[in-house]
Amino acid sequence: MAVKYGGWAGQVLRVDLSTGAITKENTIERYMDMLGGTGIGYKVLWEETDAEVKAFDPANKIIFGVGPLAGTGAPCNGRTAVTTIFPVCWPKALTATGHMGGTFAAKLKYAGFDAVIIEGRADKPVWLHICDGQAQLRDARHIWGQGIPRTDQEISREIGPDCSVAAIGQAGENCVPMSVIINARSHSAGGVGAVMGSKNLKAIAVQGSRPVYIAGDKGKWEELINLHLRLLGANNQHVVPSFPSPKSEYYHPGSRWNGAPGKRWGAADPPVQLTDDIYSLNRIAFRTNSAAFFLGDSAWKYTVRGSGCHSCPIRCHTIIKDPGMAAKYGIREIAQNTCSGMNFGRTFFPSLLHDRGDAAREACIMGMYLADDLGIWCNYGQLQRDFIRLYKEGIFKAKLGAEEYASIPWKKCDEGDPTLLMDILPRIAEKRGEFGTVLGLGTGYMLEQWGLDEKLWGADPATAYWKMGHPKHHASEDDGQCGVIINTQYNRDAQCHSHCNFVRNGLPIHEQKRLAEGIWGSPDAVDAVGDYTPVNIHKMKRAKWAILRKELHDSLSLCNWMGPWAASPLKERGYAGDDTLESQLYSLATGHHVSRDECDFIAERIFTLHRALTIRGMNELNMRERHDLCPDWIYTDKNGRPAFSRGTIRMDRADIRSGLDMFYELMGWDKATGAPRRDTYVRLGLGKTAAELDARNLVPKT
Amino acid sequence: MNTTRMQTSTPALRIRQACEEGRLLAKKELLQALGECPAAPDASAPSLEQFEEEIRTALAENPDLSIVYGPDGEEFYRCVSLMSATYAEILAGKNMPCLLMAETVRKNSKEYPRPIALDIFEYPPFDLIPESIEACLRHMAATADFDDINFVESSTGTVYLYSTKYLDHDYAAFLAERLDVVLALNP
Ligand code: SF4
Repeated sequence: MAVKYGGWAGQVLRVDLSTGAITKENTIERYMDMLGGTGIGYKVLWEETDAEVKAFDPANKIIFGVGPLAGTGAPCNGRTAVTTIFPVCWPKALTATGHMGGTFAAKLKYAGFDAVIIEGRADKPVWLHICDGQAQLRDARHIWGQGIPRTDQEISREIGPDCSVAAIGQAGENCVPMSVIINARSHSAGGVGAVMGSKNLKAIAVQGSRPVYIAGDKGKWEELINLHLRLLGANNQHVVPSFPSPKSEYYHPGSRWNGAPGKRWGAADPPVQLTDDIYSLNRIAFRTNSAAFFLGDSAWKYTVRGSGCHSCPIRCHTIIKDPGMAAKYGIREIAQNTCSGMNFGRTFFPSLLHDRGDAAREACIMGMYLADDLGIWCNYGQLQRDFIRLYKEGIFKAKLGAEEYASIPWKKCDEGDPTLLMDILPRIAEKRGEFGTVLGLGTGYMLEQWGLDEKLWGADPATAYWKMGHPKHHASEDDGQCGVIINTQYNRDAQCHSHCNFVRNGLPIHEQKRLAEGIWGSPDAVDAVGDYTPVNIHKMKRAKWAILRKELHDSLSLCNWMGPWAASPLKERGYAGDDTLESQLYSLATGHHVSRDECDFIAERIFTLHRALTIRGMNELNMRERHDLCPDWIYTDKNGRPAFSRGTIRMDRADIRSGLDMFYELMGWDKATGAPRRDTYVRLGLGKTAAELDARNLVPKT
Repeated sequence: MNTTRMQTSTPALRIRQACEEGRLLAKKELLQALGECPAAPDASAPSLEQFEEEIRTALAENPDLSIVYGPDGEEFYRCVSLMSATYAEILAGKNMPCLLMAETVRKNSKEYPRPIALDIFEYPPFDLIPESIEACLRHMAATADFDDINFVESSTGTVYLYSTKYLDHDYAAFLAERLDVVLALNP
């Protein structure tokens, strides 16, 4: 008799847009070994595509995967992994994932599915309606050409407001690689919108009323959820407040826990004053105000409240309201976003980069309004950094025709006038002119198109470019060699936060080192930022842990912008979090009991399959020399300070090489090539994968 | 010791209540309060020694209470479960703002490590007015005891203080830039 598991909905939906065929598969039978989310995505791409498939081919697949924890009561469980052959990856599109929060993940589970596999290409614009175990393709011609909020509204009007709509804007429709899919207003999966557009799929709307079953003891589940809530800090698992508090031993001005007692959500109706019960589990949402963190203290006045993903008390997507700005520019008065989305607008303007005043706020509201309507991706700020450099160095002038160059209001860029965005962003979304077309390609293809040297682009720290068309994502500037090695591993920006959530948690270094010793075996697993010591095996254990937990979160639907919960605000626990939280949640939810190490083992399988996809996609065994690369800027220091001196993030080439040696060893990968060894594939249950790669000479011989 | 003192006026309760309100009770304040609130309406006024004994007993019998000394040696009391040592140290140092600023800077430079933005001293619980901060900066610059207190500016001009005992200038400058500029642009 088949075992009945909790957590999973039990079915994966497959939609062939070319034929209109809609079928269902059993999740447990086909995908349980990969958990869900990215795991399902990687498996589908491995088994069903080949190395020659390009991002916009009908043969490419786009997999919306959620995990067994999505839609449960576990905190921060609202993340959907959107895995595909990623169009911005340069010089060849390879497997990568965009992630969106919001409500989609939970709704998909309530609709009865763990994933949706989209394949083929529709011959006319369609949208997919999924509701309580059923799915139907519907005509999207009336919404094709509309922005994302309008699309969301139209579909909600048609099927009812209880739906979650993941839609693309004009950028996605026009197959602009730098495009997103958005649900719930601001929750976007970057770089994948154009794959949907290439398939003529405007949106996926999900509705559902089915339960997600918890297999384990309900009392234990509730206890665990309460523990998890107690271990939460603020956004990015910053576990100390940014202000001195009688209730906290530590404070850190860099912490995102900026909801100090007495601050006000000034644009709420009526305004809400934050209370001093900073540890109250009913006030966790008071802790984080992303608008104030990114735009400065004046943003409190414009704050309505926090918004966020399903079942997440952090609410890091701060809603701001600025009627004056709306009247001045004729745009919506409400905006919401977090992190790069919040910063989107002002970072086009050199004069506003460090501004925390009105002009920066206005530019940001304008940026959110346009980017989240047109569905443009910023590639984690690389679009803006490229824009500024191309402008400053006169490259736009040299590459655009005189007429096109003159048509762009550059003065507005110099003056910090946000209406510049009304001009340039539609150009990108519509692929208008050389400017719009080339900027929309993503950095790697832009450099190639304009004959610019990628190596030189990666020599400048201010550009923050890393490799393969993407920027750094928490590298040496946050976490020394640990950050560097993590940034070598993916086919887009690394999007890993496990490591930086720990080093940025706000605890003093002696507390971090004490916790590090408990988890990674030595206090030397972590350095104070900018005071880096030579690499050691404990740092590399932490790098491996960070990547595996990221994969685990992306496969369970947990938020890697919050987890893992290695530290906590709780003094009585010595600020320790619980490193077994994920495995406990998974075990209780599904009834498949695994230890922490067993859970990490599954994550290792998932990540190794990602590695196999990369090796196959590149048709290259030598990952060390061809893939796991670093830009030159990490080996420089503007003041000439040597590596390992205090106050520099400069790395040492030989040290990074030995870091890779250690990391490969820990992963069971061949040191010479950085490719997984045959025994590693076999150990992880990926023997068939090894055999397929072996047939292409893509498994190390030793 | 008078064991019949009314529940609401025991030293332990007063200390806890003050901490709950975010205040730190000084010994002189507690003694005065105890004197204003006799054990019973008809009781003869106890001596100062008796009050002191009462406080000592309260501290001995209540493990959640502890003594905090200000930089000038003044005695304060805190409830450890209601007020952190860090916060209590700040409150205990408020009578000597220059020393408070210097000790805060030293502690931050040593522990985290990090420089501290000058404007933090304007906000709770420091609550120093800009003129006092200015005066302290002048005093520190002219006094040998504060030789180690130095400042550095981020690229946007925000002033940070650090202690040269624990941070060199380059490192302090790096950390100041990170706090003031880098973190908000590196989400
Ligand atoms: S922390 Fe932010 S991104 Fe993560 S689940 Fe919560 S609301 Fe979503």
